Amino acid sequence: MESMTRKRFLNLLLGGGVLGCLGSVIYPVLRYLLPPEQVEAEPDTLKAGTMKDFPIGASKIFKFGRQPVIVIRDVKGVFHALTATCTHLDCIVQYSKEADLIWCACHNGKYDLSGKNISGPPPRPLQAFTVSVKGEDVLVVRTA
Amino acid sequence: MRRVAMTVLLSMLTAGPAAAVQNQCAVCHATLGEKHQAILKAFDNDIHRERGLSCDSCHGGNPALDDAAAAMSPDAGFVGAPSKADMPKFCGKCHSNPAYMKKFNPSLPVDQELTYYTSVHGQRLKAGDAAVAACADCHIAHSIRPAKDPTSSVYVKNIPQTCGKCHSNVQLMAPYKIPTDQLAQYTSSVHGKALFEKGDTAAPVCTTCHGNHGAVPPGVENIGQVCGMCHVHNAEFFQSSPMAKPWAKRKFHMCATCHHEHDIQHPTAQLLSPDNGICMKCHSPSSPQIAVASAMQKKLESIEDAYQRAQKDILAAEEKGMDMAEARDLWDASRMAMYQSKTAIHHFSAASVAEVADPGIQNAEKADQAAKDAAADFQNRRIGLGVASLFITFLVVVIYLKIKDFESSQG
Amino acid sequence: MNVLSGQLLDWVDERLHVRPLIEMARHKAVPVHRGSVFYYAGGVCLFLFILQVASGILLLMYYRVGADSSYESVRYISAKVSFGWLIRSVHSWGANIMIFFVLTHMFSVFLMKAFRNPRELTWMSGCVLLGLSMAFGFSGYLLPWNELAFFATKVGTDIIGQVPLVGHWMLKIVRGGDEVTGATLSRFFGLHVAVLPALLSVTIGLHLTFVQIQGMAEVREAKKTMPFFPNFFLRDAMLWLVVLNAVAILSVFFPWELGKKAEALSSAPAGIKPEWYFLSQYQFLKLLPPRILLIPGELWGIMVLGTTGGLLFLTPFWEKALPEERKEIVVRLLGWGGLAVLLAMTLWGYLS
Repeated sequence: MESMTRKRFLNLLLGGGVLGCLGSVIYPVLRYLLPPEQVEAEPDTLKAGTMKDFPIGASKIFKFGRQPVIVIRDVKGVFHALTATCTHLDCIVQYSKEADLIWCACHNGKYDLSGKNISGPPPRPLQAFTVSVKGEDVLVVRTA
Repeated sequence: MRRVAMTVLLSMLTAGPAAAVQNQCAVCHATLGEKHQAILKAFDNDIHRERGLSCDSCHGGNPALDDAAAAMSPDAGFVGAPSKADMPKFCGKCHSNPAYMKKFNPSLPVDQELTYYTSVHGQRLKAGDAAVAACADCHIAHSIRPAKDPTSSVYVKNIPQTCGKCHSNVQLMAPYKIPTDQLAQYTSSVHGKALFEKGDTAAPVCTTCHGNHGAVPPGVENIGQVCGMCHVHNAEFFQSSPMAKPWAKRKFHMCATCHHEHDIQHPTAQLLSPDNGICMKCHSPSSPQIAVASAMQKKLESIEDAYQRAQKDILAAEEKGMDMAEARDLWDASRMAMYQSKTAIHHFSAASVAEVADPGIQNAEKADQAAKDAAADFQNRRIGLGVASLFITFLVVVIYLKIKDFESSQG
Repeated sequence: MNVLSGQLLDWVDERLHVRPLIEMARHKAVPVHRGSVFYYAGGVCLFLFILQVASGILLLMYYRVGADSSYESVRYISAKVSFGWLIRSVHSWGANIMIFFVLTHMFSVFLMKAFRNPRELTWMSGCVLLGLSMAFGFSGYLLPWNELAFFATKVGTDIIGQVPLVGHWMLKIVRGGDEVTGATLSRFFGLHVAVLPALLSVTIGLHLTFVQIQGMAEVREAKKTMPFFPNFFLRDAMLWLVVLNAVAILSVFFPWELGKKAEALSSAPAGIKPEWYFLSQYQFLKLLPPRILLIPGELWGIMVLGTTGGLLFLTPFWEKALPEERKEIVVRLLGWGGLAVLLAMTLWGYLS
């Protein structure tokens, strides 16, 4: 009789332990399967906007994965996309419509629209990306 | 065929020694003691030698003659070593001659002699002062290297030392009654540190502000121009600020008044302090201007503080292995805002500073929050592990008891 | 309750004839002796394989293979997906611990001479399982497409190119080209999530069937036995839980790092080394001189390693051919000696 209650008690504990263990496995798995709100980062292609967002002489800065990228439609209407981080001291560059070149306000560094450093302190060119226009969409593509 | 080969070989054999014999200058001067030998040795690395020039190209004379008197006679065109007063003209023989210089480097300027005479050095030389610097004092005679060569005395990293050779010399500078601490001040300045410690060859050196061949101290009216070459917005904001006019009237240097010249330090918010800040030099403590300065100081301090707090927490979270990529993006944005706020000071308006600083403070705070969340998440991982381990250990113990239980009944 | 389960059993038995199996399980017994503890190693391997399959399937929910997406998606898993860091670390730690237990299992079986007649097939299928596990480790290592994995794979696959005549073609087949590229990644991915799981599952099935048919190998001094159900089974369960907990602890305190993304043109970081279970072979190949008797040293190395593998696989057959009085000593010498050499070479490789 005593051994029966003992057995029953043990089985109860066993059931509890199994449930606890299952719970501590199933909970993280269910949380894992629930997709996070932010969809996956770092694509190979980034939609910078539509043609409407880029009148002649417009420029915009985007995050392409971890990198800030400047997308420019120059005065001739040609698109350019380059890393937006100045190679001198990591400031964010801007497009100067008047001079039709890329300019860093921090120490007056200048780059041409292909990203080549042309004057001021920048030691290296900016890295260029490919821009393709598909219909109305302006897409920036990581060049291998 | 064989005959042709023989002739070529013979002519090569005879031409060899003949060419070596030609430079009699080297032959004799090598026997004239250490000073001459050192010059000959140094000249091996000189850019002029590399371009095919020899002793007589500058000093004249006939290097083919082995009779010293004949070789160095005025008839042979010998001019010897120039006096300091003649040196600009001596080098200018070639360097001021566009037609001649084109043969070597068509893009090299030919105005050095001209601009030299606009410099304080040139003016004094013209006035008969032979102690000033002329060509060969900066471009070391007989071992001249182009400015892009890191071994050159005029390579950007070597310029402060080259100028300092004379300008740090108390004895040499005594007659002119000018200070000699510029090099020491520059070395400890933000620009000197950028050049020497960070190796940023884009940092300004003596010649960036003073000019090289036409070296002069920049005048009060154009010092802002000089600084504004790189610090565009700072100069622009200042010129459009209410400070510009009164400063010009009082002949204040628009940058150097607050930032000094050679010992320019990384500016801190402290510069705006209502207790001991630079503004107090002119403004009275109770004036509205000091109130503006104080407001700008507070804003700058709060963005610096937020930025540093975020940095500390991000690093702490990364040390625990948490991914801080997004927090770092926000933090980078706050750094940009911090730079911009420091530039915005030159509007001398608290609102202008707040306009750029406030979004930066927000970004830094968001980054800091993300880092704190990550640290908390790291703590939660351990708590979760603890709970799970508790369940597992419990089950293991129960199974053990269960085994004991039925094995005792199995006997 | 008992009536209901009895009816259910009848229903199943009518269709699948499971009663003989249950009867067999009831009578299955495990010998009890000094080395009994090693009988658990095989079970732990099975458990870890199940854990790998489960965590691997979970990783597949977010992993996207490709030179432009592998690294990014693994980063996404560890940074953005809740408990993603845990699943990834469990998979990485689980893999390493599994290899460890597979090796433990193998050495214990070898030293207990459990490969002898009639268990030759069990032994040989086990050797295949070891090879497949290592292939799993090698192919999985590349999948995050980080710097370390990229160069380790480059060095590791270079060796294949040393095989005479067919080496270059084999290298091309493994890499999907002359160099380690996105094509290699696709191949390794296919191998890791389709080919190897299928092969390993089938081989494990065979291995377990062989074990059930032959029973556990008995050791001479073993007099007592223990029923498999529930005595041994519950002990197995205890150990599995302990291993699960250990993997969880390692994952929380030492999460697997991702490092930098692979860049084909960047220079190899200093101290590139393969995973620990390839270190001894790697160190051995490194020690060989460039040429021995006009034949490249690496080729000799491959031949020696290949022969060792072959001899290991065929253990039951050459051991049988040994004279009776030598058997004991040779097995002991080879077992302990092999283990010592393996440990020493691994340590050497780790330290150098």
